[in-house]
Amino acid sequence: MRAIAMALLLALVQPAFAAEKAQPSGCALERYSSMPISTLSDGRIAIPVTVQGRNASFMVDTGGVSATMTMQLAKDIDKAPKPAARWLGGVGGSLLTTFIYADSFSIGRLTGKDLIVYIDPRINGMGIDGTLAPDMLGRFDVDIDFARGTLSLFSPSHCPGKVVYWTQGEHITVPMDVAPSGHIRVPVTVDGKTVMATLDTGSVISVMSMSLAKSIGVAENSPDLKLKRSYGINGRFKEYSYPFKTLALDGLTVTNPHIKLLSDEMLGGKLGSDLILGVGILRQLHLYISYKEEKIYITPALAN
Amino acid sequence: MRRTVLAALAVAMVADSAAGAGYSLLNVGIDYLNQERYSDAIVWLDKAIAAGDLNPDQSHVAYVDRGLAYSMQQQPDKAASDFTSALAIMPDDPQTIAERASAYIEANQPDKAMNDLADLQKKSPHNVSIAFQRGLLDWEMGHYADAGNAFSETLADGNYAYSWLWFQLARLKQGQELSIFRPQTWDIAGLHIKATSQVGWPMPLISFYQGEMDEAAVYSAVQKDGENEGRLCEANFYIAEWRALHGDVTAAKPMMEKAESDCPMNYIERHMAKFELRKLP
Repeated sequence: MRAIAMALLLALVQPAFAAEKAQPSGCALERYSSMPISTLSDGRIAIPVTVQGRNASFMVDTGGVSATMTMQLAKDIDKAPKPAARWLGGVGGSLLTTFIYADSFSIGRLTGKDLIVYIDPRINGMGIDGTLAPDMLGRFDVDIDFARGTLSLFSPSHCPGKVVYWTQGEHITVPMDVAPSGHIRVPVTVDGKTVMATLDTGSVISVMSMSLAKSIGVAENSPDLKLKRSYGINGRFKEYSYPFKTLALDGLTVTNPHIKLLSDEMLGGKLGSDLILGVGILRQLHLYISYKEEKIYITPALAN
Repeated sequence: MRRTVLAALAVAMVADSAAGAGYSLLNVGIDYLNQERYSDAIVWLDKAIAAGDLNPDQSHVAYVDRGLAYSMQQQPDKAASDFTSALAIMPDDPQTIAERASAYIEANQPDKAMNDLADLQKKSPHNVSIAFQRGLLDWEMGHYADAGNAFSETLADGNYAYSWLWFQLARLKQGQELSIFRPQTWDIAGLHIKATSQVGWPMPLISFYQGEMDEAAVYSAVQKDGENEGRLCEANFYIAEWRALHGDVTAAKPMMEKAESDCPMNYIERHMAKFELRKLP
């Protein structure tokens, strides 16, 4: 198997959009590409991409590791999957064991060559052709404007902190850990207790492990803790609901956040934390993710 | 920023008259749908649509989601109407065409359903799941030869277990012999891999149809692990079909009733059990 090369070829980038007027001279943001968002029925989002000349719709998955595609798309572009030396966990617990090299892969005006895309049979039927993960997204600043329906990729080279172009109003800046996998972890405060959370646009709902819930004060015998579902051998996998009151990112507070509690075997440490913020919460925000700065800039979704 | 409060599910925070209100209302509706609270989802998606400020993508998902909520509430006519509204915004969305075809099937409008499936098949000629749906619809319309042909299309790359079961049912309906089950395998770079469905459930049902396993053994296989809700209903359904086709309607009927009541909402066996019960004496 030849060496894995995942470099997006920035040299092929077409002339970028004009600099944002709101930025001071010399600190202009360079917008490489801006794509319309299509919203899946569960609230997750997809953007148009082109794989070897074929138009496709890929879900944006900040909780993924590598781009994935359906077997159907691999067939359509006439690519035979190769066995992967490194297996990945996919959507819904699937194991991704095969991949293709995409000779060309375009996101808007950006085109990359020889990109690895894993095959994930489980995304069949989701209304998408594949998923985009931090292996590609992490090379840029990623601006997700859920409310206005656009996702933009910006150059990561800009003056520190000078990115919030969409509003003259207030915003918050949250430091983030970027794991080697590209997963983003940020500090959040749930009912007054600060914990680390992974931002996962590929997750429909937000979930927390039971051990984390206990550590922030959710008592096992609390009448508010309701068992919603149990399954697996002897019902060892359990899902609970709990009426959390607030989830805050710095000064930005989501009231009554819907966070499902899962038994530890189901979540423990997945994506690098015991709390995953899914798209149900993230859709209420405008997110500008600067992987290079390791900061995320946030306003309410409708801020302008 | 000082204490900016977002209204996640704090519905009182959503101001109907505010600019962008539709987007906030849509998010509430989507969240309720994801929580399977369908009545609440419909209420909030109604409001989101009525706000009149959604962009086309958001309007599309609002109609689709309200349609899905209506479907889950057994209101297929309203669901089909919403899917039609969504398709007026994005005419080529295969997912919505598929949902509308399902709604038409539930609403007992097979001709319209068949039109949608034919449209889908044109868009995705190699998608075997469309052929499978077409087979089920032909079955409901009593076109067993067409159903058999549609199911056989889904077997071209090997015998996907559920396709094989339905193909056999169509053959039995026409008085034909059962065909041999040929396990589907995937050749990936020289590796010969059995598809997952061929090494676990529903293989006991295949074995039962081929006379290699009796009913008790199938039910025993169902109980092997804790995740048997769907398997038990499938066992009831396919064994009931087998019995009915072999003239044992008395035994088949209660099993079919169990399948209808116990199968999860999105199982084809639940829908087909409901349909079959209307025909059983």
